[in-house]
Amino acid sequence: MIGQQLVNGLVLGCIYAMLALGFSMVFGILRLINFAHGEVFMIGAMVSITVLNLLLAKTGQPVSLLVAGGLLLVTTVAAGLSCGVLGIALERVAYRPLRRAPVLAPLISAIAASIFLQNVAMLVWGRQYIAFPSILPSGGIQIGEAAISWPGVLIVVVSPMLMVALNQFMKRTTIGKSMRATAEDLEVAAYMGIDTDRVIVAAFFVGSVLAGVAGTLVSLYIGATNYFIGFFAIMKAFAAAVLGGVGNLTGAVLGGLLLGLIESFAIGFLPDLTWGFMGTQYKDIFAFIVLVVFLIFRPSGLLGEQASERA
Amino acid sequence: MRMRSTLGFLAPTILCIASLVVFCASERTPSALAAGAPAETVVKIGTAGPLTGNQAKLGTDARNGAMFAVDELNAQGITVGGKKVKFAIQGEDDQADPKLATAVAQRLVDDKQVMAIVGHNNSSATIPAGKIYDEAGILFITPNASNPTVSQQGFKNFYRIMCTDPIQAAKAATFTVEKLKAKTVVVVDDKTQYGQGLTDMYSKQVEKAGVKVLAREHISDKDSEFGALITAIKAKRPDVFYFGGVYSQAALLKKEAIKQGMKIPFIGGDSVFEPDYMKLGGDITEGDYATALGMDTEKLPKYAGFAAKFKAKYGEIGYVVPYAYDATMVVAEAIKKANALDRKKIAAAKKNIPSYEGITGKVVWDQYGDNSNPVVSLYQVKNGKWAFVE
Repeated sequence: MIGQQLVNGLVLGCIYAMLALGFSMVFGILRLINFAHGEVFMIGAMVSITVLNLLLAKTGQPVSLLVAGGLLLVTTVAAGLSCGVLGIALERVAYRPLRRAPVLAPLISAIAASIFLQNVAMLVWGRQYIAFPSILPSGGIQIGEAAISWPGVLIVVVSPMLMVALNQFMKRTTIGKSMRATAEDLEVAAYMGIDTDRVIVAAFFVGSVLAGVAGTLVSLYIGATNYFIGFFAIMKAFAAAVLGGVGNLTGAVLGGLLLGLIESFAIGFLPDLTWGFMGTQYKDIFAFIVLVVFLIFRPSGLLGEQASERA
Repeated sequence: MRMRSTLGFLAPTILCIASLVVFCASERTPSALAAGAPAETVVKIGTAGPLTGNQAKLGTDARNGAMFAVDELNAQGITVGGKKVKFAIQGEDDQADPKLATAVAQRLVDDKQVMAIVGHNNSSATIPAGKIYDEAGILFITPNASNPTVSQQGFKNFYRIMCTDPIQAAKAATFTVEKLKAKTVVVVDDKTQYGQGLTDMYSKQVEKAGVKVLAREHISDKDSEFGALITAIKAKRPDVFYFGGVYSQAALLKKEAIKQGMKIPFIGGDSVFEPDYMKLGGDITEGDYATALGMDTEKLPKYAGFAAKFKAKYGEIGYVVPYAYDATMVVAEAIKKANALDRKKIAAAKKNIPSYEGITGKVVWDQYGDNSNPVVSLYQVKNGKWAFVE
């Protein structure tokens, strides 16, 4: 069972890592807790199902593996881009006007945006669970006693690729370097001639694209989605980011993976460890416990916050 | 600056007053229109159930069943106390949430035209709402809420059409032992009144017959990711998987189980007995079992004709529709017997109706409002449809 829980935890961890990355990027630059990030993830999931159903209406079912792969690629790109655009709109409408307001105002705006997006999704897609068309073959890869389904394989393969791509983007491209500079010190970056507005928009775009891709992959993995997954997503993303160190992108990845593993092992072993006192329905509590413990004892997280250097 | 602050004060005030006016007006309009109908008195029957959410199909089906009954009654032209009456359904949405159920119950009770209630559709919603109906002395009949504690609350005017969960748990338990020949089971519930009640009863019954319950696991009714849970269950190697909860989560659990190669028999309660279970789950639901309260519809003589007429109007027929229809007809019987548009008289008149022969068979009520003529059926998914087994 340990092997299987490890695999489950890794898959979940990759999703949490992608969510935490987008969340951390925005926090690193703006010191803003983007509560609406979870809803962007949820909208990504919803849009991916709608797009895939539209495409399947044209190609008919069942589809060959090659066509399925192509459809998934198109769907993921579509969901990612729509979330990116949503992220930019969010920044423009909910956060930019409050750039110079007291720190509580953008926070309230973030919660408001989250409620708004959740209700829009509920009105557009309804409140019931929506099925993700199953176009990938069932079965998967067997590693010893652990089985990982094809969607799970996809997640474990695509996520590191995206994270490596993001890393290279931050290291090599001008805008990536500008983002790191702005995250270090926004004012000085502006003095240095960096267009901080553009950097902020880029951060929201990239973070939201990651959330959109994560949403698509999770719906594929679970087989269905619902309008309220955003609430749990933001809690996990926040916990993962705090666990690894907010603002720290490597920390976000580490935090996400650790959180996924902790959750999976908790479900597996908690009832036995507590003699049935704490059942498996407490699994979401772990994210919250981790959050609280770290906020109290080590708010800078495992890898430390991105400290802004004040000379 | 002073100008701005005056305007700043005026605008929200005007907005508040305007919205209050619009709100109050819209609240009044429906009944105003109804009362405007000359010569006919409107008798409202309130229905309450989940019209939106995970279980939207259940509530909508129940409401449609009630509306179908009311259309038939109006076609007959009923008179009460010498006056011609027109029945109408006041459909309310409680989203299967106990908190909303109390708000909905209060709203229905405050509407003086509502004479009786057909609802709610979830046991966890029926109990808190029932307290409000009990205080108001209004008759309320639930088509399908099946947890036994609902009739143990001491409600004076409460009745059920379907029987209660212990009977369907017993049937599932007997089937597990005798037909599936299982030695071990894992039981999962969604921690709701209904789900946990059902699994408590099933576990007790099955243990009495010598089967070992390897684990009692729980999920939250908002969960969708079950990877780690299924892994933990699979490691225990059970023979049978029993689930007390709603069809949407049942489908996701089954999907995850198949994903991890756990191909054991899967039994659910009557909330799983929905065609949408196969729609959400797909082919992997083939061979799954579910118990349902009530007789197999093919054996009910009046059902076929009823279903044909209902399908002609609403397109398809759901499991709870004939029960909601019968519940509404029983309410109409009570109103006719009372021969007065008075809630207390109608509730008292119902006490003089000890049994009713409806589309769903014969209902005989005991002193708690339960059906003392219970029937339960077991179904299996065959070729993407629910097929009667025993």
